[in-house]
Amino acid sequence: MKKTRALLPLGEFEMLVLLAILQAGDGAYGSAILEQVHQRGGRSVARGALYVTLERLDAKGYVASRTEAGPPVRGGRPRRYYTVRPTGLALLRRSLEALGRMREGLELGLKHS
Amino acid sequence: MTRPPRAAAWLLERVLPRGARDAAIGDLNEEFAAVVRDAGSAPARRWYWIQTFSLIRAFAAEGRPRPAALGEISVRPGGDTMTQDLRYALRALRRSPAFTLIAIAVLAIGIGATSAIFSFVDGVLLRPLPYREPDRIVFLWERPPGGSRNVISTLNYLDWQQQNQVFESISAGTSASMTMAANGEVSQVRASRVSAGYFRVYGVATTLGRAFSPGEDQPGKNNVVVLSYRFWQQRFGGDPGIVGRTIALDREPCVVIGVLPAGSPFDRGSSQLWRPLAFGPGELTRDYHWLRAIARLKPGITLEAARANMDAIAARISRDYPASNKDWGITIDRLPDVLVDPTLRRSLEVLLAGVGLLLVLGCTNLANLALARGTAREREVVVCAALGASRGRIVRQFLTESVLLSAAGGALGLASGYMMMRGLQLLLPSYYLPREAVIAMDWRAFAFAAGLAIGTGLLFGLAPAFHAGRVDLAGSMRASSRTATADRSRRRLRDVLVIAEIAVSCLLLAGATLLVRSFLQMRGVDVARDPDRLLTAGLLTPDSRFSHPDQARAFFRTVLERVQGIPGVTAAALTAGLPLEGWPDGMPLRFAESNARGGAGFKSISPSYFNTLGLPLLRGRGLTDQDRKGTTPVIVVNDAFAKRYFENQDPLGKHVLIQEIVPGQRRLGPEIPWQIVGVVANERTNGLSPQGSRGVYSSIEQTPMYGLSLVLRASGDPSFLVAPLKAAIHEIDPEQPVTDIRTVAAIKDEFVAPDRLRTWLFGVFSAIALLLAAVGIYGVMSYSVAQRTHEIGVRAALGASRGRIVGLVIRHAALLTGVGLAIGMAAAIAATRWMTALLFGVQPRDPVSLGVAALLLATVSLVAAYVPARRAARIDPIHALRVD
Repeated sequence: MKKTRALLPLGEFEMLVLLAILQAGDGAYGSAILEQVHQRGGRSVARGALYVTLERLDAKGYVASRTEAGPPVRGGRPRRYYTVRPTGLALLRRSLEALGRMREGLELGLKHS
Repeated sequence: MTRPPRAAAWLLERVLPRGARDAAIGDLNEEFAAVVRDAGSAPARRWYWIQTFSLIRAFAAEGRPRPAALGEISVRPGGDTMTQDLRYALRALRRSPAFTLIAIAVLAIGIGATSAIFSFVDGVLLRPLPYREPDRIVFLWERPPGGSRNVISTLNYLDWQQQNQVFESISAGTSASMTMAANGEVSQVRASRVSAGYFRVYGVATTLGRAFSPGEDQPGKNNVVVLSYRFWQQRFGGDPGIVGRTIALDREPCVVIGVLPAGSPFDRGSSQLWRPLAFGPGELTRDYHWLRAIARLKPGITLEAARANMDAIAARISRDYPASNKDWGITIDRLPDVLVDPTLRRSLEVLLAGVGLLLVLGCTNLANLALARGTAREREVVVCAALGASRGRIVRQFLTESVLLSAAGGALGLASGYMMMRGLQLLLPSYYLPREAVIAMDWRAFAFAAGLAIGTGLLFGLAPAFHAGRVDLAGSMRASSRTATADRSRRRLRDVLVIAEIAVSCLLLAGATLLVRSFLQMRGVDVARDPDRLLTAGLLTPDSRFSHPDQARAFFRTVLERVQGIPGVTAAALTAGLPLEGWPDGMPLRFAESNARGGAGFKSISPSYFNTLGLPLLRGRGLTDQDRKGTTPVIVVNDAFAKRYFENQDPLGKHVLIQEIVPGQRRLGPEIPWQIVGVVANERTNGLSPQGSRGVYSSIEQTPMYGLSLVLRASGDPSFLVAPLKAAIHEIDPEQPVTDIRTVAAIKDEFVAPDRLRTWLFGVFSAIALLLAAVGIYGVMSYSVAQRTHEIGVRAALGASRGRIVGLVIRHAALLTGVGLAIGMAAAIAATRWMTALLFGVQPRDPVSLGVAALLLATVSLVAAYVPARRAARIDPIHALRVD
């Protein structure tokens, strides 16, 4: 089990997924999250990786999920909506802060991109 | 609406963990709908599959335990042992790539060949017939006195049709070549004329348009035609507007009313199109037999009931028309019972048995290899056992390896089997398999190959597995394991395996030599003198072409004259039937002098026929140009005829009463008293056997025919005659088709093609078997020499000569070979009787064939043993004794 004292308590992909859930807001179910990662992340990720990560985040208690009925085209299978729980949010914040501190004072040519 | 691929959904349903499953599949379905909208259904399905694999891979990786080290096999109890087994097996196989490759190759060839042959057995013998309730379809024949099956005369058929109470529908038919004019192109097509009920009997509906309606087989209403799907595709490019179009068949306009379904038996049969059979006034006869009939039994009617009903009808006809029908009956066969010719059935059975034996042999060999490998892996097993792996666990580990190998072999085998199947299909003449046979590699062949793969894996894996399980811990832990008891029993087991290999090879080799001998006998039969110098061609003519027999006489006289004038032609003849194509007519006959009855084949020929073919005249004279219309009717009989009817008498000068064959009509004329003027050697008409079938020859001047074939003898290469021949015929009549141009040698080649293929296949099987047996002997002997290095060194040190040491090894091999041969020969003698139907001119226990097989096998195995024996003889005693 990872210690929460680690400098980056979340993996890169976990951060991406949590951010995507936040970006998707109320409509954060699998396809929408995938779409967020795809659009904002600028590249497509393997579907399998996303679902496995969602399962893992759920098991660790970083996200919560609820199911609701979806449109008929789903063949009667419900949509599962995710929200980020306070623990998850705190870890995300810590990770981003750590990254931010590491970045401070460096230009990295970021302004041009 | 396009649905997601069912198989992918099925997979996901089973692979994904419960919690994630519904949402993930639902998302996928929802996105799928969008992809279908944007990209179309085929790309969307592909997309769905890619997503499916992404999910499966990710979840599988998530659930996988950390890599297991060798010792963990038993250290970690429980857990996913199946995965562990597999991963460990993979690693073990990767460590010995040579063994792995050989094993997979042997299995791929074995499983491939077996699946390929199985696909034929399945298609021809096992698969249900592609008709609705095929058990209700029957073939009907007339049964002549003393015979069993004969084609049917028109009036008899019509009586059957009207009087029977047992058939739902009944149909008569006959096949013919027709000229077709369509799309401004004239060509010959293969057609059938059938009663309107024909397709109802088979229970086949058209895919376009309709089949014949009742009543369309009446004169004046029959200008309609149904096409096979394949013909529609090939000749009309699948034109969707074909129904309603008019094409000319034998110059009569016919409306296309329907197209049969794709892939139906009618695509594989010889006919390309079907017209209703309407009987003309000249065809309403009772003594001219020319029709074939099929019928569909009413529901609930048994074959016995149908036979009783038809027997009663036959008795009535026989009573009412004794002149033509005295003692004639009716034979009924169920379609499934007669579809497959017994020789074909036996061929397939023998081939499947052969290829199955080969697979067993391959497995034995692999077991042998695996045993040898087991020795090398003893230490590894010991370590596992020492770390606490149970015996069952080790056995299972070994079995996993072999099943893994055979799974790979099976997958490759399916691919190689498919290629072999396609290859065989190309090599087989099209008429060889019944048109109902669908030859394909589908789930049935797949299931068969998968079953074989698992079975073979267990078969060749069991022996090494149990040996691994019985490893002697203490013995093997010692530095030298040479004396371990497991070793001795393993050696004994390998001896037994080699004996089995030799026995099985012996069986296969005996079968192959028999078939080869039989085929050589067939090849040695000369159908005619120098058959590759004899060019033949068909001159098809529709019945309507000549209005009077004299026109035909004149036409064919001109043809013969012109053709004889072609430079390079040394002889030419016309005939109603070529060699190996049967007798054109079978005629009942009566002897004028004794009033005895009989029957014989009847063939019209030009007088030059015997000379052109090189058939020697045995007695009397041949036919001459003086035997023409108006002179005494004469025939030449063949040797079989003379022997059958004139055993101790002189046939010359005797008279045979045979009814006149009227050209272009379905009737017979009055009896003609034919005088026998000569006896000719038996022509190979129906088969290669020299006994021949009895027949008589009449001159085409006295028995004119409308459709004849040409035979030319060339002074050199007959292929140079093709163009001049066509030119000569077209000079006489530009519209006369010249078909099937080939040599008599080619006719025979085609006749024996199935035999050649079968012989080749069996020959290849047995060559592989021989190779495998040699490898087996070589392996066992090398191993035994390596194991006995120490002992041989001692013997050499004590003064044993090289010859003695070679003898030591060879004796061992000779013992194994001898025992194997004895078992194999006993099996061969018992089993080859089963092949009798496939043999020509060779007895199933032919001592030459069996002797050749035994000698070949003995030689090969001794040569294989000699190499390790030489190695043994070169062992340097000093070196051998210094090792440990």
